[in-house]
Amino acid sequence: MKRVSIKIAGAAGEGIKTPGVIIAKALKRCGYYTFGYTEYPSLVKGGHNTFQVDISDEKISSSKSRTDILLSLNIKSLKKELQNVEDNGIIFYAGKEQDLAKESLDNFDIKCVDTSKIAESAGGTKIMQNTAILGFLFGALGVSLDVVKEIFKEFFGGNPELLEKNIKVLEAGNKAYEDSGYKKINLNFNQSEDSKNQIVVTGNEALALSAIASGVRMFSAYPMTPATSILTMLAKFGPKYGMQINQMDDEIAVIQTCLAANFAGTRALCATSGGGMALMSETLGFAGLSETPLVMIDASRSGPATGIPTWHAQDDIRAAVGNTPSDIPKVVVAPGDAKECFEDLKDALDISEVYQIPVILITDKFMAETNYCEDLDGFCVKEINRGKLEHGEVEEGFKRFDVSNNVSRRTYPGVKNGYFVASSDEHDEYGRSIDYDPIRNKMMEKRMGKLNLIERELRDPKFYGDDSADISIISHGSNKGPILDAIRELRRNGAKVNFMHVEYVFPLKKGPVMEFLSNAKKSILIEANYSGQFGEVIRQKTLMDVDEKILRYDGRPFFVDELVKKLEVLL
Amino acid sequence: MKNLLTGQENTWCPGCGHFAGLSAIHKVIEESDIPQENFVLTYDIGCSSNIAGYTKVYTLKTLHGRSVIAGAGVHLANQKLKVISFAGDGGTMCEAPNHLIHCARHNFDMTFIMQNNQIFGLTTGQSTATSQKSAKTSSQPYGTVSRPLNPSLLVLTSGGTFIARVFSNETAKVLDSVRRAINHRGFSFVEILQPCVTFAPTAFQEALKLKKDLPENYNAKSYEEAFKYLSDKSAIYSGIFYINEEEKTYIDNIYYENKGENLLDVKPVDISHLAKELFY
Repeated sequence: MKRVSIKIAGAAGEGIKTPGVIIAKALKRCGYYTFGYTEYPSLVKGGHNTFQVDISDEKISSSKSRTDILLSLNIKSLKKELQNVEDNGIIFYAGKEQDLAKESLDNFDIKCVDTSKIAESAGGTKIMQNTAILGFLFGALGVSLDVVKEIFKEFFGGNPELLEKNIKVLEAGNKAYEDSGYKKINLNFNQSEDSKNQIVVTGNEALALSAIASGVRMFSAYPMTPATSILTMLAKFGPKYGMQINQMDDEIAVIQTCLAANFAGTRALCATSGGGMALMSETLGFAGLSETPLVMIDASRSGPATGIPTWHAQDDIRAAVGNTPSDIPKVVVAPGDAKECFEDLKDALDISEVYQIPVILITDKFMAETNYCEDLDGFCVKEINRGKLEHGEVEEGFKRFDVSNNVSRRTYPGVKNGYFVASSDEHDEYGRSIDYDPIRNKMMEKRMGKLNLIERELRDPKFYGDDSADISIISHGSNKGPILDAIRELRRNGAKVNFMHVEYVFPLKKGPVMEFLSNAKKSILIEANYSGQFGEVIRQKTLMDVDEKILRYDGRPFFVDELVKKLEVLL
Repeated sequence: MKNLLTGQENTWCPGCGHFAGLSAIHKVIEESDIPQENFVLTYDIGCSSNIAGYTKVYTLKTLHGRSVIAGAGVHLANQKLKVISFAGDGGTMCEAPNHLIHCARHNFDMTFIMQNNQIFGLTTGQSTATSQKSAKTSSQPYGTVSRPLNPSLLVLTSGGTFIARVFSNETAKVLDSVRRAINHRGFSFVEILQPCVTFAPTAFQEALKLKKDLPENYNAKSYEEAFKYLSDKSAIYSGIFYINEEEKTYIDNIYYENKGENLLDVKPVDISHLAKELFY
């Protein structure tokens, strides 16, 4: 297996993300597997942004911490990134030789490309220097510009003038490489036909696709990193599929309109991050009590409070599991990659309607904004399940909250005779508020009994690796990618390793988790938070502790090379 | 004839001001051609909302301060429904005036009836954001410290397109305002000034002393007149202050395909083309 990382770095406003995605798409179309990871600060202009594309001849689902090929658009970014470049790495700097001398960088092997000059002399503007350096890179990699031009057409298709200019600058960058006399970079990879049938998609984009595919008709949101791109993608494409997109004016308005819309019989969805979820938690309790379906996406980031807003963490597991006062039945699901984002949101929407409960689909900054390579075939919803939803007319005296079953029939306004009160008060079988009344216990038991039903029905955690292993890793969410890549490497080197990927964090499937931990010679929890929050969930449910924890809370995800080293120590 | 009674006990104090809004809404639903199952009432928490379930219609009794925004959510999902939100001055003006401001700004086609008795009644008499300055209450026994908000003026300046303010003892006027509010296309707001007979009886008596009817030649189409009469501190005018039938509603303005239908048709959608177009 081979892996090469290409990183483009520069200031916000110089255009880092678009060229990053173009590199990932172009190399994917050439038959490589790609994985794109981005870092950026919380500001609009300036700062230091990066987009790293790892490429391989096998499916990969992680980044490495070191850069093989660096493209830097300015001197500040160059200085920051030099330390991350591999010893035999290649560095392209979009600027002049004299800049390097000024910063005493002349002893490094840095290839200068005067991208501003290339862009301007090809009829473009200075801002198109990122296009010029793309042309240069693809020249060095020997990638046909035809592939890149196709992608440019898709990006700039709506603006023929901009497209033409960018193509001219791309060609000029490419020619500048030919004229430079620099050695070709030989990737020396096997190209695969499979990767050509894949799409390059982030977790957030997969969630947005799933929302449309799963029949969501209303999406409400208030912008918050890293959930915002779900809103912006749905805002652009959702309406074409009949989806009503409501940018509400605070998070409580978001979740209240979603709950009310679901009460009214449609399928609504909302998305936020940790701070937004904190504001929404009272309404989640209301959804649990009133047995109203409600799905919330929480793309977690590095907290607490505002934290470091554009950086990664899995800080919200504890809050997602336990953020509401009293007891409500709910499900918390943490998908492991873009494909699981698509599948798990579809399932979350069904589970929420079938059991009439709130479901939190929890992701994180890494998953939300990372470009995975996934098979297009998986992005399809054939049928949906709305549970016991009654249409048209029901009998007079209809009992919405009939206690004879954990899940009772549900009506919505417009259905004849189906009147009820969806109440935030404890209530009788019609939803009317009660005071001290024996029905309180029956209602609590009706609702909470759903958890046992759900735990039985949920998919088991996924198991990877050796049946008998020296180390057994348990984790959730986006850690799946780096862990799978790390254990592949460890197993190739002869180590015996296995891994349990838990999507359904709550309610936790006790049986398979206990069996996995009991069989483990050494169990290891991997999580991106300070206290090992998922470890607490395991402990609470199974009374079992893990032997070791690998935790990270500096704002970065797990990089495969670093993870391999940490696991080797524990072998 | 619609049968609106569910048999639920009414727990309000005898003489409670809330009866004004309740009897008006029952009358309006009864006389309406709209089927009973197409009415939705939303409530939140407090005396104003202890009536949830009393009326046999679909009812959403949400959290404190959230009645109007929950009503907005119901309306957004299905515009065939008649949505009427009820709440008091505490939830609306203390907990979440932001929802009221934005619902007015968006001009959602719904009605909000705010019952203003200038006190938190259910929690036994604390000041709200509409209590008069210096009013002595259990939470501010030495006199309410800050000045009150003016809800109807707030809704006017936020973009509401129907604004009425009436006193609960003006039975015919309450009914007329509620009826016209419900028939209005856009965000309609009715503020009912009413007594809390138990915890703030004098506040209403004081207000009554300042009560005046709008003049005969009053023009409800004029924003400026509405602003002038709602801002007047020397009197509390009663009547329909503002009717703007020109302003488009949120649903008129927003774009999505098949907008004419409600959002009840939930089915799988083939997105393979979009996925390929964007992410190949």
